[in-house]
Amino acid sequence: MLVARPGNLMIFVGLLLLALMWIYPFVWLLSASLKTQPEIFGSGLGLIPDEPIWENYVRAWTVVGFDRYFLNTVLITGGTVLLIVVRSALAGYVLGRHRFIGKKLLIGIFVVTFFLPEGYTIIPVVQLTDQLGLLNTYVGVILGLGAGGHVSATLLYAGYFSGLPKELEECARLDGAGPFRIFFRIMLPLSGPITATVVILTFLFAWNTYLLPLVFTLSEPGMRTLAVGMTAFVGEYSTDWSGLAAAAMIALVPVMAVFIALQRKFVDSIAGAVKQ
Amino acid sequence: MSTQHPSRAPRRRMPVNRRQFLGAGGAGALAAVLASCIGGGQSAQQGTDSGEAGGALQWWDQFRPLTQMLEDELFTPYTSANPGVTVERRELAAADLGQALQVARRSNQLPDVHSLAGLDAAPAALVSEGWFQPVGDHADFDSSPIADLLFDGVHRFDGSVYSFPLFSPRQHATIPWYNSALLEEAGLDPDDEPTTWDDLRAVARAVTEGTDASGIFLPAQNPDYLSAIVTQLAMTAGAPGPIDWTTGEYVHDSQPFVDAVEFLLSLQRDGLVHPASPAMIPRDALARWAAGEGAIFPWGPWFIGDLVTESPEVVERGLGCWSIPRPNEERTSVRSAPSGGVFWVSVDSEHPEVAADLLLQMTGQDFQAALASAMDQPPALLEAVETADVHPAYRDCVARFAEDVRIAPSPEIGHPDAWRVTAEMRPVQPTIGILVQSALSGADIDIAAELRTYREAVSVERERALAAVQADGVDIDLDAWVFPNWEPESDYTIEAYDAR
Amino acid sequence: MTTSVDRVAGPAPARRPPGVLRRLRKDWWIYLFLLPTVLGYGAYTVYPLVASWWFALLDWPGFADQGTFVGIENFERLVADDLFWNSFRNSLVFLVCAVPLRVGLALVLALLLNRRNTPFKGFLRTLYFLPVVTTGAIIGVAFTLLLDAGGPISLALVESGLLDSPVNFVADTGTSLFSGAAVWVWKWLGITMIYWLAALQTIPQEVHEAAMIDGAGPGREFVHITLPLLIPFLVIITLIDTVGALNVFDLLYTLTAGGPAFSSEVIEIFIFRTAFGATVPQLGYASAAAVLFGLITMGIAVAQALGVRWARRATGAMR
Repeated sequence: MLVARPGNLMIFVGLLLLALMWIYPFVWLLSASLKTQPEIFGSGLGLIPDEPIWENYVRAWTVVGFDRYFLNTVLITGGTVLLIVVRSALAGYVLGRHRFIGKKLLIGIFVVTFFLPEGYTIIPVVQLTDQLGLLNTYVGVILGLGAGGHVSATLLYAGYFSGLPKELEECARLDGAGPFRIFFRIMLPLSGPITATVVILTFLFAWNTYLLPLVFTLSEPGMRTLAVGMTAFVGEYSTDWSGLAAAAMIALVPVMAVFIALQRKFVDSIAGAVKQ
Repeated sequence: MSTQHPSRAPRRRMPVNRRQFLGAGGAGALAAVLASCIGGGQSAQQGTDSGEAGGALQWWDQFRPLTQMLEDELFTPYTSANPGVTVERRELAAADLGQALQVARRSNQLPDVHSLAGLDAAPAALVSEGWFQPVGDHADFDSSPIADLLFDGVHRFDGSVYSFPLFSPRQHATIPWYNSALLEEAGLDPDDEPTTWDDLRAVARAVTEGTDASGIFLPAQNPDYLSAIVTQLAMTAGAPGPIDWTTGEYVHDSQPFVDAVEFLLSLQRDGLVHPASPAMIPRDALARWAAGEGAIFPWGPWFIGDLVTESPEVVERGLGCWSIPRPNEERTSVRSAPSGGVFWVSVDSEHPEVAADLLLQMTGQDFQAALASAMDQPPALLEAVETADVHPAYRDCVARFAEDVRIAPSPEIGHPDAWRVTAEMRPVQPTIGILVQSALSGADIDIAAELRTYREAVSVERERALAAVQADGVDIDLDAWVFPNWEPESDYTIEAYDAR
Repeated sequence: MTTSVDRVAGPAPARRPPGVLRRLRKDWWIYLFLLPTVLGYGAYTVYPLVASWWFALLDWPGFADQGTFVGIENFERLVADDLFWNSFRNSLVFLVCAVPLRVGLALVLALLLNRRNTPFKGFLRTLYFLPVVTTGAIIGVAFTLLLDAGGPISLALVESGLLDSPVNFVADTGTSLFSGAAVWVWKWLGITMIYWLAALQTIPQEVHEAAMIDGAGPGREFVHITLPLLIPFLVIITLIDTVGALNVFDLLYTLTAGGPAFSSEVIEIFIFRTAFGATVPQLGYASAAAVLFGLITMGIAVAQALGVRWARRATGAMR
């Protein structure tokens, strides 16, 4: 290359320093989660604890009930991802490959509500969930998170299905397959890559979401997710800083581990979604 | 939901699992599909399967330091004396409790008994919205030891008792609690009490300069804490309270209030306040006081009860309290409103008679003595403190209240419809607490001018609320806030209301 | 993302349209496929939208079962409410400070990472991206410790001489909102960087080579060739990030809760506080605030969507 080597090196060092700054908060959190209470704010910038205090994790896990929060988060995330994938794939398939009465209207509604932020409809959603008798239930939270919104997932499927060759269906139809067989036997298996994208994006959304589970579990602490439980920890044990750091690590590590294991997929999904 | 549950008593106990997951039916096909996919059945509640015939009484409150006491002195004795009754208590942080109650109310899931943290602006409004059942129909509160402390418009509505005062009104939240060891390290004698604001400042300065610790904590994260401190300091400087009871006018912008705010700001300007104070709530400050990071922390009598719960070893180190300081040697008392109801029985309760009977136990001498020894807010039967097993500093603190605190009049007691106006009034922002918070956390504001703005806004809001209530045909005017026979240095007794 | 709307038209049978009823009967399975989405979307997106308009016309204290109709009184009060405008202003300040920073910084990073001779690209990209996958609410709580006056950030700034004395970043009326914006940029920079990397990959290698043959330096090449090609992406990415900047409840609520003294209260926190957090919760009033702000948000989105269309047409003409 034409560019001089020292310049390259400087750019690399700069990027590396910035990257270290970027992960410093996590390193500090890890270190704080292993320190004693006075050490956190008393030992200056030192990151290595005198002696790792694993008890902090035990406290966060059992006393505060993070085991329960963890289970809640897994159930709610799993349910939400499943709901969104199923309904988006079904709707995306017919939107992408078929004409029907009312299609324009449906797309129009999608476009109008595309940018509606979650916080602005929370009051009626609570009201609705209450009327359905679903407040303080997993299904209530899952429906609240996954039943509405997520137009982008539907559109991703629609875009993908519309790009598949027309012959696929015609052959199957000649063999006597009905629409359900065509969808479940041919189309759905073909949609692997886009399903991966949708799963990853909705997983990130559902695992990290806060406002809706917060409001839905106000009167039922046993239903809290990790994100909500974390803030409850602050309210009830505000001065237990090392426990707080340990709790934060417990809540953050799984999603970071999933990311590092699947990072190629994550990055491709997001890049793919934006290109659409 | 109640319509879908003709028998609601058992729903609290046994079939929690399925119901918690699926809701009360009627969730639609989607829900059913989902549930079968995730393999439902997980319970969202812990330990609720205590199947006794009478059904478990749900109980919510925010009194963490009372956890052990309530269990040992109330629930256990009561449930063993009454087989078939079980109590499930849930403690929520005060800030969360109000929000939880609102949502529970809208979905008919209120616990049988609960406190009102976060919603205590106007209990009467909740009564009129049909939140509660009267307890007086099921238990005889009028001949209980606290009968003298029950007031119309506060505990009794339309002749029925709904709640009762658990704590004494004779208290305030600006007790300077000190760390004896730090004072001695700074060369000070804890018995040499700083009685004036300047004395207190001198003590804080001696500690800041003579030790590694800070002089005083002023946690500014919670505006209500700041509001209370400023109002109480203003009263030591001669303010009648937020309202001048001789005229009924708000006086938030009078000189004593301005002086009180200025005093707090000057402590910070002089560098005597713990530097992390702006980011602290009172409980943070307690933890850091316990860690020896500062010498003085002005808070309520529960300071020591909390400390015994959180870090008992610190109590041994040495601590004590002084009286609330005043601007000069002249002694003026702090006024406190009659204490309201703490626990209420919700309209959703299936067992109001059990709940009422349980609450009645709390008015007895035995429970009040146990309450005293928990060293939280002083009990309604204040004399219980003298004989209870409490730390000497707590006894000292309560004794100082007897000297320093007088009971103020209350419009709600004086006029049967005053609560309607209180309930109609919307919160006026920024409050005094918020104003002090912004001044303490870096904003450059003209305190006197802002206090005047606040006083005017509150007055206008009261006028508006009054007009709205009058428009509904209620006979009330501003005279409900005027108590011409009020004496600043005496308690305003029930006889005084009659003589007005 | 909006573009796929145009593409979903799909392969269309060109036959004469049969009668409406016959088509509906023939296509029953299509509607079955759509049922979950239509039901869910109708109930959880469209209904709440309509309902919040209705709620906005009610005087509805949170502890009452239902509200009473008061017409546009809530809106009149809202317009006169300094705290509403305060939160509105805070949202705008947040938007104006944080979005350009996030978009610009991410572009610089993407350009540097896109260079052929930068080593360990994948590794660096992973580190920058890591905060994106974390939970906003937990990050907010964690940063209350990191940004404490005695915390590492304040300490490091004091020790390096950039600050004279420790600062309570989140508990100072002057810095709380900007601290929130900084944490938000930190958290979300990685995803915007990925958007940019994807955008850069759409630029054909030949363009780059042609520029080199013409003797253009890297700076000139960027300004005259790369930048114009990136403009449509700039509009889309800014749009996505702007919507993101209006969804900061989790991070800001846990970091500052809107304080101190409302100095970092953005509109979402205003709505939450009015509806659930206040001593006298006011659901109707909160709904009115939601409606008003929803309209403004949609206005911004529409303006930007028009921008996308314009940019696409402009660049289309260039090619």
